Amino acid sequence: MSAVVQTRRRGNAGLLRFLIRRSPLGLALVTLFFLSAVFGPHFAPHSMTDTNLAMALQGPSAEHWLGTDPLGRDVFSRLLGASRVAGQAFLIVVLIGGIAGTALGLFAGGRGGLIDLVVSRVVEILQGFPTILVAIVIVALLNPSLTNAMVAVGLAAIPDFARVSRSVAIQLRDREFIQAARGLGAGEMRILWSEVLPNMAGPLVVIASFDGAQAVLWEASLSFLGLGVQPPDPSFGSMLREAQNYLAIQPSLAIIVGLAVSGFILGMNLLGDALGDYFEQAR
Amino acid sequence: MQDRGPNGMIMNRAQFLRLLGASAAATMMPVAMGSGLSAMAQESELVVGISSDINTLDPQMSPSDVFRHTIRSTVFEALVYINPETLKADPMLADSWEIAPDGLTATFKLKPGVTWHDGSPFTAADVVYSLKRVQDKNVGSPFAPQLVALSNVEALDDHTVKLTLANPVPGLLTNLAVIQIVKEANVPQINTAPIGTGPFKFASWAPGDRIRVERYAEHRNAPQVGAIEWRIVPDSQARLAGMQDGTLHMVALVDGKDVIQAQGAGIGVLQTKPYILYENFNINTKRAPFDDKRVRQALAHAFDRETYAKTVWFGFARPTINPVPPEMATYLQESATMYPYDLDKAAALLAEAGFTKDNPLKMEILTIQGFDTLKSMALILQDNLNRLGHQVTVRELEVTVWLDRVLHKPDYDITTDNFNTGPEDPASMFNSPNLAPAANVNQWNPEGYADLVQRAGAELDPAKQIELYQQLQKLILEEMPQITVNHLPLFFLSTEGAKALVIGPSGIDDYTKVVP
Repeated sequence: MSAVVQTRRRGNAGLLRFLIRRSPLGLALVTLFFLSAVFGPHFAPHSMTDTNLAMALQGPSAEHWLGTDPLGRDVFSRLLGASRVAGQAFLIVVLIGGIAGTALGLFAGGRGGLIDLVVSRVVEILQGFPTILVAIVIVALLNPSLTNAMVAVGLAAIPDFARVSRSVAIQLRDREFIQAARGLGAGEMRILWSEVLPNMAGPLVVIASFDGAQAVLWEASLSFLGLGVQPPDPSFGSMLREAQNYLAIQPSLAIIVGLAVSGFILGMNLLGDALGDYFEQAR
Repeated sequence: MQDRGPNGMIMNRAQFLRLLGASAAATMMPVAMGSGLSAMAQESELVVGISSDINTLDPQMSPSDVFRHTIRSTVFEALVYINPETLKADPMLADSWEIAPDGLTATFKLKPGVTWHDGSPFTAADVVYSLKRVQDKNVGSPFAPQLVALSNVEALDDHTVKLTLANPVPGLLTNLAVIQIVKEANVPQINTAPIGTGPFKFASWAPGDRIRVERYAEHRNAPQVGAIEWRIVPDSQARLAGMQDGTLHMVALVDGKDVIQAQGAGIGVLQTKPYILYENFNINTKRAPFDDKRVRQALAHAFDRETYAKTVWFGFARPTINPVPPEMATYLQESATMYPYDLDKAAALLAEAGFTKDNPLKMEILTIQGFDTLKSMALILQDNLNRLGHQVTVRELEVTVWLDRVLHKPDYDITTDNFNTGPEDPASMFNSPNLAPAANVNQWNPEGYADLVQRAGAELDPAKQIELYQQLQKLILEEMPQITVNHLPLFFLSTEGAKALVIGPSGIDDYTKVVP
């Protein structure tokens, strides 16, 4: 039990140092992304939605740092707006997938038996559905919007969290400190909550980093199809969709947005790998 | 002629392809098409890229088959053909015709020696059957409005048909130019194996993938090319790439940015002489507050048509507020520039109707997935009105959902749309689904409008007819049931040989002179 607490303590101070050493680029990219998601829209030099046809499709300039889109809107400001949308997607998916998936996996793995069997099969069935298809069906049934699209993707993220937390729970179920807790009279639910769950933090953070990056990509894909963020609000996907049509006329549009998305995904994956190493080492 | 837009079903299929993976689709498509290169290297075959599939092979049932120039233009023929140069009727299946001075009967002499693709002779009975089939309420042909005035059709002999009309119809020939003649015995199989009299025989249709027709050697005007294959390629960049690597010889119906990019890449562009299409906002005039014409007029002032034409259409569009193009004799002079872009005026008119910053106008503009220029229109109007403090949202709908909400069960405020003007006949515009008194998208039919449309259509004295049509235009410009934005030609991308295509204003194109 004390080992658990120690792991968590050491995390806060040592983690940052470890990440800076192991994956400075990943950390920098992800930090930049979240800073622009949180503060970007407040510092945007122009409105994200104001059209100005006279200024359409301009290249980068002092006035418009990254140029303007086909309706004369400022690309830099829209990119900041899009990063907030992506940040929201990240949060929604990780919260839904993380809470529901972890709860399911923890319960199934911790209790075992018939409950485990049923939950595992259900999770496997869920995992059998292609994420994007489920998302499209849900959005088609409801209305296209960021929240609907991301709830759909969040549901699809449940199996990942459930499987990881289940396997950790099974590994821990019969370890000494759990048996000690049981011997001290702790109830099963209490054991799951305060003994097993804290020990999953590492793997869960790693899964969250990958699924969160995936969520940003799904959001972009769905918005690319017109199923996510609705116009005129910017999103990586809808900006790419627009840029694609003007590839030969103003290629910088596609390059800029493409770089932004890939930069973030790359950063997130580097960071995820580093996190994985960290927790592996800490174990 | 009553086609709903040039792009039709685009996004259905586009969406599906994009499922392959967002932007990956864009890069994969040219590769996928490149692999078909060897298969299509057979000589004398024209390959045309279209953005969406047709919805039926039956030429009398497909007005919203926007890719009408496929089966309707090649496998079937009508009595007459509207010449895009003169906008007058040329002979097609009819050799000559005579319209009685009172305008109540018309006699058509049919071309001798014409055969159906199965070898049987084409006769007057086929014409009688075809016109009656279009009129049959049980068939429900969308072309029925073209023949409302037709009270009887009879075969005088094997090669003579007499039409009797309830009232004179000045646009009779234009109306007949869109009615394809079908063979009665073929009708049960017409949607799988259509038989026509046209220069091409139907070969195959793989829905969502390709449509193929082959040369009919027996035709009096046998085509140069051995076969035409239309490939459904929803992505505009992929179509451009197909033109560049030679897998496509032609791309039908593209917009301004594609024209610019094609020109930049050295791809030929074919353009119709008449401005065949208009883009517009439809307004649900049955729904408050859009039943107030001041609101509709304000919206007309809140859209900058000039700059829109210059930037979104790269100057290829001709801004106007009047759906009637200036080429038509009935055009109301100086009307195109009415309702100039003026946000102060828009604000004032909205304030008169009770909408200010404190009581903002709340509305939703619908637009259709895949129609890039229409989406830009919606976003521009939204932005302008929101700057005045109103609350406008834009919703992009999949085309089938859009058809449902706009055409079938009207449940909308405003929507973007585009429409064929029918430049050859003034009557067709006022009988289109946008403006027809009987039923129209705008749900607009004020007192006396139906009567005026009927009288204008039946007027035989050209001077009086012009007068009546100008009265109609004044009414529409005052009432603003729809906000017209521009007139457009149709654009095709094409190789040198394919440039011989003749694009007909009535939706029947001539492929006989085309070489790949």
